[in-house]
Amino acid sequence: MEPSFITADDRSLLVTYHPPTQLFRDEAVLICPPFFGEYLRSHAALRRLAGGLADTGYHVMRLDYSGTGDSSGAFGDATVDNWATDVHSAIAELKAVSGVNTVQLVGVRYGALVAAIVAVQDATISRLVMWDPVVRGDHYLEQLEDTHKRLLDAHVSARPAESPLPQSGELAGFAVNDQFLRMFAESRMPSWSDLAGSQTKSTIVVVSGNSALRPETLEQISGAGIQLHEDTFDCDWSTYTEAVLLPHSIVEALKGAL
Amino acid sequence: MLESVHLLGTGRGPIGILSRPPENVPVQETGIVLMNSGLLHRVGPFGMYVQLARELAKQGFVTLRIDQSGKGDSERRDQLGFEESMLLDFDDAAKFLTQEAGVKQFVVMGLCSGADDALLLATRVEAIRGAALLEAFAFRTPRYFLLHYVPRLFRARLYWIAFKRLIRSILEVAMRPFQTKIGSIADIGAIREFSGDAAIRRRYKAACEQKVKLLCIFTDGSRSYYNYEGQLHESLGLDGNQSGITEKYLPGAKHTYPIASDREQAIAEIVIWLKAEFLSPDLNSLLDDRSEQHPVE
Repeated sequence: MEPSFITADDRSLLVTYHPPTQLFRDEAVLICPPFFGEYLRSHAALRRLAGGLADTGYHVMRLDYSGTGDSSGAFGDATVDNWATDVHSAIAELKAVSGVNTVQLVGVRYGALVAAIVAVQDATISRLVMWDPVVRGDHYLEQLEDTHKRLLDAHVSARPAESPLPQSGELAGFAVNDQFLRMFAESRMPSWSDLAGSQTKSTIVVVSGNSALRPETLEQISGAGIQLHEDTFDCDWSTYTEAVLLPHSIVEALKGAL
Repeated sequence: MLESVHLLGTGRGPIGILSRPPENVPVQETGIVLMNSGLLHRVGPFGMYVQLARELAKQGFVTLRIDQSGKGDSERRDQLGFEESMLLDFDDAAKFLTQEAGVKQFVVMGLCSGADDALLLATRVEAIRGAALLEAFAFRTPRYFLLHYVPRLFRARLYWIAFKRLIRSILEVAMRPFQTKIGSIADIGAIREFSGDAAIRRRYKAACEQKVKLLCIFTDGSRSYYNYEGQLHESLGLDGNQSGITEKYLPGAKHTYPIASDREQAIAEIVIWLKAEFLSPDLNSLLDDRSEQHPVE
């Protein structure tokens, strides 16, 4: 495993390259993690995924988008365009270190939205695999606002009067501002038909039990002829705790989809 | 941003992210090492360790947030017990910081199991002169029980909650043989091991005897064993002015600091303590001079 910082515009991004340990394939995989607390919760699972793929011969890279993880910048100052640029930069780095020109993307939750935007822009993306993708930023914000409300409720009883809970400027544990929230609410994944018809050869969606995907979204996915894999593991994405996810079956499903 | 990533030791890990002070800020003689919190990697809960490391670097302290062996992105050290592995991890971190930044002594910091690890390290490694412990273990006192139970005697709703918990526990145990395990969700506290009252007391006592400075910050997340400022001193029979332990209680905050403003408050307490205990006097005056000319943001 080879971690390093790369540059995207004026931002410093942490990427971690997992070279293949055996059975060298002429293929690379970039893992696009989720955001907010989901990033930390899924870190162990995505590291396991990366290691497992490297063991089967893939060149694999994980990244921290700007404003997240160990990368530079403030989360509340970032935009989805920044994050798409970050992914493009990570793809370029992955190609450079691996010598491979074809890349598959694995996107998790809102990371799937960002990965999908990149997939329709980049002809060298051969496959897009999504785990519980966020399709619309405004719907995701509703879930985050509900999570935030429960987070605040959990603090009320022990909160001293001289230290009131913040009424704005935070969302589900992270500092945000109005501009960020507007940007986030307006973000959209490319349509399923656009994804199915793009240069990306295939798109596969893995959904966990009690998934946040709405029934109409699942119908649209099937209607676009996109492969859907349903798992029973409940990731409980709406929790406000940072309980670590270790979903063995989903990691295996993601490996199988690549 | 003045950060770099490194594979410590022989180059196969553990992984560490180094945060350096800006060029116009003198480098302190004390280096900081942040220990993993539970199963979370070096970023810390809600990115707290990243925020903390960058703030400490702004104040002149080179700070290394590491993934201990077997945690986060670091490989496990085979055939070594947890304690031995942790000591080697710190040794690698310390050698690296000394080589990179010339630091002469260290302060370790951590939340939850990270606090436990930091306290243990502080009693084992002579070069560690301080430890900031977030949600460390503490001991219940008679006053703790009074503050905890008396208000509850008059809250009928709590009896109903306790009854529901009892029923749920019974049902969970009864259903366990029928559940198919296809994965799990592990709580941040899943790997926290309690060494026993006696062992923890010995560590606090050893830290005091070795004149290691401690900052202990507790939140409402510790309410099962801590609920007033001064409780730790009282339980250890220590005089607050002479113990070398600074004790802070943030009753409105939770165990992993999910409210951003609570994180900022905890980080501010750490900075205040660190500057009071570990700011080099010569560099301090130099920092003041430079701050007047070029304010540090």
